[in-house]
Amino acid sequence: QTVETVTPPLTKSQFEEKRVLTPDEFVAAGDYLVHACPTWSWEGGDPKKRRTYFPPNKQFLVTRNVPCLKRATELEGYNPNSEFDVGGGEGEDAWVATHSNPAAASGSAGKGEVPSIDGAGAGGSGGAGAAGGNKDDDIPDITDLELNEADDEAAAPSGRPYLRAEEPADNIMRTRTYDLYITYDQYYQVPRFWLVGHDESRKPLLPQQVMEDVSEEHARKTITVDPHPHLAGLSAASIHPCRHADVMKKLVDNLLEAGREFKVEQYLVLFLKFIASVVPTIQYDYTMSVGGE
Amino acid sequence: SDLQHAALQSVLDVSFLAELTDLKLNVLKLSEEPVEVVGYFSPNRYDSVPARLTLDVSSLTPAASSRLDCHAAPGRLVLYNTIEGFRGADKPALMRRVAAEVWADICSGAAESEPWRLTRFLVLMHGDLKHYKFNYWFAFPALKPPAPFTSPELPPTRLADALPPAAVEAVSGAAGMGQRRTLGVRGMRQHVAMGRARRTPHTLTRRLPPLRAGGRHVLVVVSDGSHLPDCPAWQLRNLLLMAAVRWRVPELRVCVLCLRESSRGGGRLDPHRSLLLHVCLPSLPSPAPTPSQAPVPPPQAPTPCPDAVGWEPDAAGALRPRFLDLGPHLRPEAQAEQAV
Repeated sequence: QTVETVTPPLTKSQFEEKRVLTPDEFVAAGDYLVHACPTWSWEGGDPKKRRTYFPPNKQFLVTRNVPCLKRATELEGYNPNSEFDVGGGEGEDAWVATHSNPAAASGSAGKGEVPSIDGAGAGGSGGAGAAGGNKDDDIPDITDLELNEADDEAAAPSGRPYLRAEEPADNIMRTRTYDLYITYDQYYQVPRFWLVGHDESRKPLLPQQVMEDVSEEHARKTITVDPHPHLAGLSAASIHPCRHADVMKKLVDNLLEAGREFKVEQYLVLFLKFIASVVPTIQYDYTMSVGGE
Repeated sequence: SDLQHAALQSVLDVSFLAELTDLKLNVLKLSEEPVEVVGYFSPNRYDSVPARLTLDVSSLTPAASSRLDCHAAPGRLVLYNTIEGFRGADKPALMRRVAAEVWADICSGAAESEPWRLTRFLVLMHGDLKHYKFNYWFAFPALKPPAPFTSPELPPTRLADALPPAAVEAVSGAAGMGQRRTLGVRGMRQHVAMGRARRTPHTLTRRLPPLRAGGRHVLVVVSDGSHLPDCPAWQLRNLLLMAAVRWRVPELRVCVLCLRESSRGGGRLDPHRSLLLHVCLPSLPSPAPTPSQAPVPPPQAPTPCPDAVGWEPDAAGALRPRFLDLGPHLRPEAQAEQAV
């Protein structure tokens, strides 16, 4: 951050040479992303933390309440060494399909040590309020506060359909949710991806817990915890941007070699496909196409 | 059988508690006066999690909010100075007070033009600000009708099964979930997309054969936060009560279209998750004149406010406060440890 105060933001595009973005290009790419994939939206965040080179309401991008049904380490057949080969040489589509689609994987889980969540992918169940196992919620001196409300026949039993006391703990689906942010990193001149998670009882996840949803390879190497640039008081896990430009350069080169086009507006769409390999079980939508046939 | 509703779920964002701590220390100080806040419901996009009420950094300064894609709900926060104050709060009285406001808005008709008035919520808190520990308890008041809302056909039909594809497409377009995107906090009034049939765009009624089969049917369209396949979200309860109290619904039957968004976002309706629901309303004496009658109602005994329910259970499912220890998130030393 100190560096940012003395280094002026990039003004001349270096997209072609270095695959980095100026603030203006970041906004253009963000506009394209919001259009192509409207689960993302622009926000202004804390007015005290605004960057003057961005419009007040386009400081960063966010998508909220994204489900994450299981931990990355539970992914069946997941091999951290096979992920996201940025070295190229495997054909044009290698980077898209280096590991299974997280959405598909979550529907076919349930072997070996992985707790069964059969049917979870197909729908209907979820992180309802009554997840067990959080005994630290039970602060002894306030249990006497328990209320007795009048009978309410119109309330659906909480925690349906899978959270029942007699079921073994392993059958409780550990659905987390994530708020995902994309900010602009002025120093590296690339987008930066942030993960803010909540557990199944909706407590904020600690950064160490967030690591469980990041592929092992990346958790060790590239995740750091830093203050969120636009939200005061919030420290969050983020994927360190120092290698983003290199990765983006290789991805774009692959596209170009395959005879596709790539425009700067599509930067974030491609970026999110790359991020999907880092957070394989967080089910945000990255299925939009890129690079014009 | 009786219609059931999925309870709402609250989420306190770390950014909200950081901002609240700041406000308490520098502005509120020892005051325990209620603070008006705004909670946000994200669009309901996923079949594994419901839309949840989130309080974040912009909940305390809603005018400055830039959250455009959400439904906003008005809330009242009571922040107690001591744990004893929090424990000793007269919760039934606080609940009755919010319920009375909802009831007044139903009876006066205010909630018809501004349906966000039906989504008022309450949150009681105590914060040990030195150690970043918080006790809190949300309540989402639902006013109980004199007899349950029932539905002749449960579970509800999915929209995709109820209508032919062309009609689903027409509903999708007419429902205009995407419009919400431009509304922001003003979008509170869009929480219920359409009040009753006579406000429904022609495109919608004209192309919905099942809905007009019996002649004058009333169609209520709601943005439904529930992800459960067989029940709508909690907010529908107050809306149905309003329909029972205010509207002269033929045969006391309404059809409710519960809109749920596609996981691709953008206000696209997901016909496989959206529900079509037929609801029978209980018979109620109308406490307020309809607009076509005399503008000045004769003095009458105020209709008593129904009982309200809706305290949020804790993680174990009991009606108890929730507890958050944000020390590991907010303590400066802890942050330094993590920032390796």
